[in-house]
Amino acid sequence: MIECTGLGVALGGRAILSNLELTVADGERIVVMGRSGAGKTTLLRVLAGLVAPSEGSVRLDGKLASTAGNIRMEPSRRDIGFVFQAGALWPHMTVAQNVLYGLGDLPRPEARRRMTEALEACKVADLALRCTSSWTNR
Amino acid sequence: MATGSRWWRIAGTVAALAVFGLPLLALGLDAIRSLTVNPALAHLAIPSGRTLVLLARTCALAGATAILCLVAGTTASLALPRASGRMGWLRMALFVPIVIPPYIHALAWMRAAEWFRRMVAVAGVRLPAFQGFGAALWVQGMVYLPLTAGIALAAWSMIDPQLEDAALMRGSQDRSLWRVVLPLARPVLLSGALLVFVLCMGDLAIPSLFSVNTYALELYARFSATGRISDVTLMAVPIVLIGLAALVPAIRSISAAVSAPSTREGVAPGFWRSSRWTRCLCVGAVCLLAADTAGLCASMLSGLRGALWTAVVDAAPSVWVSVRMALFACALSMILAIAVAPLISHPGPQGWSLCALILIPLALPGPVAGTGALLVGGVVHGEWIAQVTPALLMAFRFAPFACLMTGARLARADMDAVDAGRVFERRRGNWMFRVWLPMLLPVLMAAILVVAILVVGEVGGSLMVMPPGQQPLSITIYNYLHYGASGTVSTLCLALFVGVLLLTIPGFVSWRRAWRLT
Ligand SMILES: Nc1ncnc2c1ncn2[C@@H]1O[C@H](COP(=O)(O)OP(=O)(O)OP(=O)(O)O)[C@@H](O)[C@H]1O
Ligand SMILES: [Mg+2]
Repeated sequence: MIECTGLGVALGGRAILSNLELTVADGERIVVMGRSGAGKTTLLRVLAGLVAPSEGSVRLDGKLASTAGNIRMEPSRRDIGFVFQAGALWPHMTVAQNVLYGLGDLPRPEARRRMTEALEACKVADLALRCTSSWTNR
Repeated sequence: MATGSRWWRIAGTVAALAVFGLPLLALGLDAIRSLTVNPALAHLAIPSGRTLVLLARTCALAGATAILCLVAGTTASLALPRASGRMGWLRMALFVPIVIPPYIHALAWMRAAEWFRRMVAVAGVRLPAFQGFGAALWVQGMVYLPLTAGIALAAWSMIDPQLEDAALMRGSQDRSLWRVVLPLARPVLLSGALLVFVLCMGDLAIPSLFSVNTYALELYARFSATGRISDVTLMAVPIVLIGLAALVPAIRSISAAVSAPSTREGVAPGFWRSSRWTRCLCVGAVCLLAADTAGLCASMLSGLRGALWTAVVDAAPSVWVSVRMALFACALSMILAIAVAPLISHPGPQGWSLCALILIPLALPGPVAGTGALLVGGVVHGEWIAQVTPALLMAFRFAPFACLMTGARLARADMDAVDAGRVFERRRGNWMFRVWLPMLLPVLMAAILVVAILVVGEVGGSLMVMPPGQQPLSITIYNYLHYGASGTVSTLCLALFVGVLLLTIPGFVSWRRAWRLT
């Protein structure tokens, strides 16, 4: 359950979003549409806790996650998945390390098992030791 | 494109050979001539006994300074969040010491230490004098701390913010810092440290003020004692080799960082969300940075008594010498940068040899570069050559920074935009003035800033080549420092400081404006 009340975001001294009310119930699917620069990515970043709103608040499952100028719950504690516009693979890590980063809170063997499973499911197990970008090899 | 044309290549190569090649050639020929007369001189190039100890001490001092700056500069930059408006200017103020020559920092810290010693003496504790290796290390660290902190800020601005966001989604602030942000910035951070290492290796002002005998000082002493240029050249071989080994990996990524059009926000390290330890460390480092700035101001103002105006009037001729030298060197560096940058931006074999040629002056200690300029000046007869030698020497020593920065910018430039400029130009050559040069303008401005700052503070080379009766301000101050005329020194430092600020602020503002436009 995601609730935004009176949400406003200002970046670089400019108001990007203002007075936004949004409630997404469990299991509900919504699509946010808008022209380029309308603030879609900004909204998602506020929900994820990467930016603090300048007004209003964000509640996740009833718990206060962000208030004006304040991020109360760290992004990694929010249990939110996020697909970035440009992939956001860390170029200095191998494919395996990229996956393992997100499993840092599990015991090592368990994390490795989950990583192998995930890579096999995506049919990229043979790429596990390759760097995700050629520019680390430079 | 036309900058790849044959004429451009020839002009760029000739310019580079004239300014960078000739002094090196003269040094080399002179050394070879002495070696053929007396082959035993070759032992000078291989340090042993006393010189080996000196070399080791110099490397230790430079290395320790580089490490100190790397650690303190990086941590300080983490606690300097991106800010606009008034806070932005406050943040800028912390970086003002970059434009202040090393020996003035030295003066400020000497005064602070003396004051502290007297304070503690009242309580009955006797501290040793602020001299020697430790003192030199501390002061050199403070001198280059703003530089490394600035390079670290540039490093953060090069990181794609999405990469940090992605790390934050799955880990704490500290984890993302250590596992993602720092490794991504590592090449640039390490390059900054290597640059500091090379600058320290060739510096002679601070070690001499704190009575630490270093290799660069030995070179100068040797020249003063024997007057034989070839001795100095041969003795400089090890230090040049060490410098080159450090520079080659460093220079490319630094120039890329300095000239990168920073992403709108870059990674603004989410400092206040990191752990308490990280925060304490960062705040400590910023305090160090602030202490340096405050100390400089306090020391300059505290020495001001009475004779302010007379000192400035007395120093007016040397101010004029400095300004003239800086203007000439900047103009020359800009021309060289424009001519040479296209050749080294996508280097072929010829470009790589030019790169190598440009790196050698950077690794050459000031006194050796000065003797090279003397040799070239000695070949050409005429009164005027003595007048332009200092400025040519400055271009020889510092134009490489301008060339490398511009080359790195060009390597990352959007060549489609340039080609479009050529396709749609209405008058021949328009693309160059309307598209190509404006694109390079920010980096050229930055390069000129760097050259101006370095020229105004330079001591090691000017000591060798200034014509009799002329002294740049830096040498005037340096001499007064050794005589201990502290009131005069303060006044002159203040004059120098104001002068440098006046020179650099227009450049800096136009650089910022040019950034916004690109
Ligand atoms: N850090 C920032 N500082 C200042 N302005 C910003 C910042 N980040 C985004 N903006 C501005 O906020 C506005 C919304 O940006 P956002 O990225 O959210 O748009 P978007 O809807 O995702 O666009 P697109 O469809 O192109 O992805 C834009 O005008 C952008 O210029
Ligand atoms: Mg978007």
